[in-house]
Amino acid sequence: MAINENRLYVLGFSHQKIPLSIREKIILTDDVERELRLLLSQKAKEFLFLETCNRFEIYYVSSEIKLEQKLLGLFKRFWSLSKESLKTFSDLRFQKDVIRHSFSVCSGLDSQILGETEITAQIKKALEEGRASNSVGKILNHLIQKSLQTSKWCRRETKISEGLVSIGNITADLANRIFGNLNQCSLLLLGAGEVAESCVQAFYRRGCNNIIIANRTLTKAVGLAKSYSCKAISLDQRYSFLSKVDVVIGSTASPEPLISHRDFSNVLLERRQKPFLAVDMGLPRNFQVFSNNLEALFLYNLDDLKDITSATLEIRKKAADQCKQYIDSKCLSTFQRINNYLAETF
Amino acid sequence: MNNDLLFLLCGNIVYALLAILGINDIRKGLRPPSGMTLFTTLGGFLLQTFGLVLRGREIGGCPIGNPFEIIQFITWGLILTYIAVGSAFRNSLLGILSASMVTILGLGSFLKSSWDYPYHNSLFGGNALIELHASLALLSYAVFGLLSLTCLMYLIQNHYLHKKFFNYQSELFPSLLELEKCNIRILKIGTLILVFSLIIGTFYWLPNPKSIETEKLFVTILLSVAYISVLFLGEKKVLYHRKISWVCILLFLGALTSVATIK
Repeated sequence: MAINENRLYVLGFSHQKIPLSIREKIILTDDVERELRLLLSQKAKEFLFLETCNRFEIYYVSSEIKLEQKLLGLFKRFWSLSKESLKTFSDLRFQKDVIRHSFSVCSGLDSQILGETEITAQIKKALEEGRASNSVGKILNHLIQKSLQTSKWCRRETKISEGLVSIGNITADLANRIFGNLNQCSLLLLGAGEVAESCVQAFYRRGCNNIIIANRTLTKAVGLAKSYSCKAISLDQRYSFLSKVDVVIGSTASPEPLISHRDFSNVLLERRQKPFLAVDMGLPRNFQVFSNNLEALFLYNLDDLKDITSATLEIRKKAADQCKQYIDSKCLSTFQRINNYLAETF
Repeated sequence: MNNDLLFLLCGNIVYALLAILGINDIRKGLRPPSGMTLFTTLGGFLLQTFGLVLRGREIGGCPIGNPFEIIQFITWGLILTYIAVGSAFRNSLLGILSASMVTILGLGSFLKSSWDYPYHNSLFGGNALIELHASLALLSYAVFGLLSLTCLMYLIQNHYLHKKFFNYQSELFPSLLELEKCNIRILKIGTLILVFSLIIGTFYWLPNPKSIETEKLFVTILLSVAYISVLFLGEKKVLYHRKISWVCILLFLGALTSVATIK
């Protein structure tokens, strides 16, 4: 039976359409995830959540007409955004477009920092979680596996990932520009996720040995700290270490700011105005700074990091054209296979 | 053209070539080679030194008797400080900036031929103390000249980091902390030389209070107090970051202007 109707979808919110102030509101809290799973387990055959600091996407296989409307309705309840805003900011794709999109996302073509490599690990993790919760079957499994293969080719055969544009390396580079040699530099990381790991790696490689990882779940911080011989503390202890470090990086999904404007002012006073680097990679933002009138504070957020990479991105933009050609050539064969699976499923 | 002038001119031309080539490299997005920068600077410095030695032999003292010589002496001191202190930075940008400043001042002094007026040989009345005082004071101005360049680099790097402006050129600058440390180090050296020069000057001035103009005395003391205060406030972290850099640049401009009061 030929499949004429749309069955494979992706509903997403990403940096491409949404400003930082709105992206802060789009978080997959436990409540949202529970409701989403409940709805999708009833209406979809397969589904997978991909949540990174710059995107939230739901890949699903369903014959339900207008399921996206129900999903938007659910988001409206939790995220305090009007349905019109949600429609404007969301991006719905189906069938072959989903495959092209997934390939692009996995290869870093759709990332805020073009060609960044962290997205691949994040997609692998999302696939593992989907498999563990039995929400991913052969269709989405095939889609993601093919996306990972495409990503591997793009990164090996083109210059899409060349240069320093990983979030960790950019942050370490920034610290270099302020403090010089990182041997004498100390770092406090709020969060112990993939972004935090990328930063620990980059700082550790550049000789920074004084790294403290603060996380709400201490065991996760301890796990990361062990690999790099650094110190792990609970998130509540962050204030006692804040004035003792030179760099603080926030990468948690905490709904409340973890460090306030006043905290930063006090830290600068205690440090006798020695420069202080704060990189906020959390969504919602982990640091609350009203206006950066603190001279010794160098505050960067996700949008700022994007600007820094523009030089490297020129090279990557050229490589992106090569990748797009390859993706187009691979899309058709993957779609044919997925179409067969869809025919078997419905 | 006399030999002394020829050597001085050659030295200044070497600095000018270094500045032009370096700026061209930076404009093209290339990093000027630090070894080559230092080597060329040394070449210009040797030529300039030889020129000053010849001029000194001719007048029988330190060649700081007219505005042309004063400027040549200050630029020579600036390069000396760069070689002694700044090159440890291993940053070719400071070398290019030093060469640029020296080119503007040095070649400018050649263009104004009236500045190189003749004067009688016993300018300092044969008093070695006052000659040492004057040359050390000018050497301190040269150190403050280099300080104004590192302060300028600090201001630019600080501006880039705050405004999140990143391009190839911004990568040429040393880190903020390195610049801060370097600024304080150069400020200490300059202040030390200035204070030493004043102490020597005092030995001459105390027995002959009428031999010195009030205007010059006032400017010299004001400048010394200003630099000592800046150093003290900088060490105590009362004056820091952009403020201390701006103050140092303005003080150097003041120091250059004050040269006009010296007779």
